[in-house]
Amino acid sequence: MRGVVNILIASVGGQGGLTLSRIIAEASVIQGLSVRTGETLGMAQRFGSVLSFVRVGERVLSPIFGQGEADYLLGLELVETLRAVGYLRNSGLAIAADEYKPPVISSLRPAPGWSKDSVARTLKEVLGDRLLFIPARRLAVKAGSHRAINVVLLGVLNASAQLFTHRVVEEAISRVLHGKAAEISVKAYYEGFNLYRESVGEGCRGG
Amino acid sequence: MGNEAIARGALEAGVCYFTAYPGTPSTEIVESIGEVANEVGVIAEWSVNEKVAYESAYAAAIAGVRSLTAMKHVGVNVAADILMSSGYAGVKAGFIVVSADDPSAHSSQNEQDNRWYGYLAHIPVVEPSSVRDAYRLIKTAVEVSEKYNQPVMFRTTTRVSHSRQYIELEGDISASRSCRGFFDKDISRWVLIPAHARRLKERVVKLWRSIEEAEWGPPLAEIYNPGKKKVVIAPGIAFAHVAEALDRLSAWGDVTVLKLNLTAPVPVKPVLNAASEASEILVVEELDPVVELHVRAILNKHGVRAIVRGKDLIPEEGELSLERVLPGVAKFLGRDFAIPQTAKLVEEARIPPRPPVLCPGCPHRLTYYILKTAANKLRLRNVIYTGDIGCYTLGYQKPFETQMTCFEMGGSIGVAHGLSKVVEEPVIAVIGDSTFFHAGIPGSINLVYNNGRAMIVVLDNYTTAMTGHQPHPGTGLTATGSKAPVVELVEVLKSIGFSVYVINPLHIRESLDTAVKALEEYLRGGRVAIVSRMRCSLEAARLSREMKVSLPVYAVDEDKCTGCMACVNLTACPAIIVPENSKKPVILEDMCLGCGLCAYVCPYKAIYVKKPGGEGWEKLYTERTIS
Repeated sequence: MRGVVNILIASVGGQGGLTLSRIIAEASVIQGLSVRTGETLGMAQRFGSVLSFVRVGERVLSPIFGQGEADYLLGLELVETLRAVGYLRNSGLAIAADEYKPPVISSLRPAPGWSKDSVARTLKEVLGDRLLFIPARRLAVKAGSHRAINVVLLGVLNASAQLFTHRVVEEAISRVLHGKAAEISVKAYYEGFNLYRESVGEGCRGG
Repeated sequence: MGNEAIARGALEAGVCYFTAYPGTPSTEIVESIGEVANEVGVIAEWSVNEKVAYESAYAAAIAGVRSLTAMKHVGVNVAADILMSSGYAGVKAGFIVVSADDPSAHSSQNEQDNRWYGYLAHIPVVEPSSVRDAYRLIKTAVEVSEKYNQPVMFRTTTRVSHSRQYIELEGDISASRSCRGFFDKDISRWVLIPAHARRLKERVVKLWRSIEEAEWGPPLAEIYNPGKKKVVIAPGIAFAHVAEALDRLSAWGDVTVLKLNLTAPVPVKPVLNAASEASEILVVEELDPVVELHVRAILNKHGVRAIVRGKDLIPEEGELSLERVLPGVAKFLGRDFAIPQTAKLVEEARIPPRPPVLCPGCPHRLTYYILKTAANKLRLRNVIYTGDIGCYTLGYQKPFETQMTCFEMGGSIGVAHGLSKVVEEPVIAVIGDSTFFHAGIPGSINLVYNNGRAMIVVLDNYTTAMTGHQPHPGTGLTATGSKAPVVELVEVLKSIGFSVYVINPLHIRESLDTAVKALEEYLRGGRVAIVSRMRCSLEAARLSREMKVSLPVYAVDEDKCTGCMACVNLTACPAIIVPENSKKPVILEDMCLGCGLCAYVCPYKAIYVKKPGGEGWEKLYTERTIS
């Protein structure tokens, strides 16, 4: 693979952003790639904005990266995806779950431009064809639980970035999650992967 | 994860005794030891606070048993008294205090740089640059501690502690460790009366000089590409950013780099060696110019004429990243570099802010509502609520505003006492259960002793929630998951002299009556405390999934709802949203945890139980132990 792939996961605390970063990190290790992640825990986890940094490649040193440096932005929620767009490279791709969790403040003090439609519209304006909207909740529920939205995005990511083989992803999921959650997540991963392949038409690398 | 790497490395180094009070970003060190403690035959404890954690682990080390205590940066302040004394008296076995600092204060009240403590207490500071370093250097730190018979501070920052990286294990955990110690009654060493302290100070000064002058090489001081005119000194995590910046600038060939992982004292020889041909030196370090100042002093003392740059090129506040280090390094090297092109930025006004908030079902939301409503019923305006450290600090926000100060652990009570002496308004100290055990008890005793006029509210959610649900003395569980006696905080408060009112905030109306009675007694001059008991809703939700007992789910009856927004404005619950183009709120089913506050506050009885909770669901919230 070329150089380093910077992945930013933008989510709301409790959505599974950290779990996703752990799965990607495990997959990188199994695939024999160098990986660093940077996470913030603690207070942010209480339904606040959470950013997880994941860097995968041949030689990775710093665990975080700055504005304009992300190759992929995985947005588990629309408002958080919009908040994080500054991190995306000009050549980067945003993979955004079509999931809207309005912050409490938008109900307490509504302001124009904060609705789901306007947030989605702004994202499209800013990113144009560098944005993929993913019906992640629908696919996650199809796989068995809305909690698997995070892994649906991993499927899309891997179909686009071709970082890991399917076997590696399955193994990584089973190291991080257990029992039914792992089963559902594997299904959700394939839902995301197939969605991308059907719509964009690229294959996965190897077995 | 960095913290797990520290735990593993410490086990390999033969550390037998681990103590901590949870605090981001340090928590996972002792948490992960707790999971394996019985299996590998070591002791893991959640201590009541950092001071006791330090004392316990230090005691093991003066009895010849290797030990480690871990805390967040501000936790070291709590332990600073014994830390200073331990620097005088030293140890008889390897002893590590992990200080996990939080640059950018991601989850803290400040971003203090604890390397200063090393200088203050004459305790060497080892600072890893990566997760792999953390794993390796914790073992080196134990060796250093035993070589000099001195405690060693192992200072990490968020991006080491909470970073993940693949590491290959290089050692085993010895199965045959002996964790038995022997206390040598060396009174002249362990009793710090002035005469002994003065003599021990001489030991410490000599020791410090000998550490400064020792021959330090890898892994604590490593020079890359020696002999250049330009030198970069990079301690701790800054090395990762510097290395990446040099990669990016293809500049490794132009500079000498000193990777420094011993930052107190700054070792003289590696600095002089790195600077042998230097005309200009850049120190890249996170937060304060600790190494920079000492590098200047060393060069000055040894007559080396080189220009030292540091905080003029590298930010002094906030955590470092490649993007914050690259411009300074490039400028130092006289290189141009392209600032990465960012996407067209979105005006902030178009993005609703999302600060952390109280979770759905959070008991604190109920308690805050009950407190404020009770005060309103008694026409108490201008109540001052002093606050403390925990999830409940989030009550500073509207609509609650029941946290008006937040300085440090346990501070709510001391501050309430002091305010009550000088202001007319009623003063209510609001403190969590774990925080009360940590530092609230002395303040409570002081309040009674000095006749303070403040009331105390303890929020007992049966856990240390903010740091990820660790047990504490009131929970009946230990760090290894075994049973412990329950220290009943109601009895503690009673024995101090408080008249204690216990509420179950899930029963709002009843709790409100009790809170009114409590406030009335307080207004009559009584010493009053309220204990609000209800399990953290994230824990209740976890138990609900594990035990397959569902919690109730509420919904809004659109026909009855008038769109008055009382439920939104009075609860600020993240599970209640107002959809676009709608004047009526809806409850997100998969987020509702059934506390019922929205239904209680609805003036039109428009919120109803859509899915009743399973048999005995209330116990998930109220019973201290669930089997």
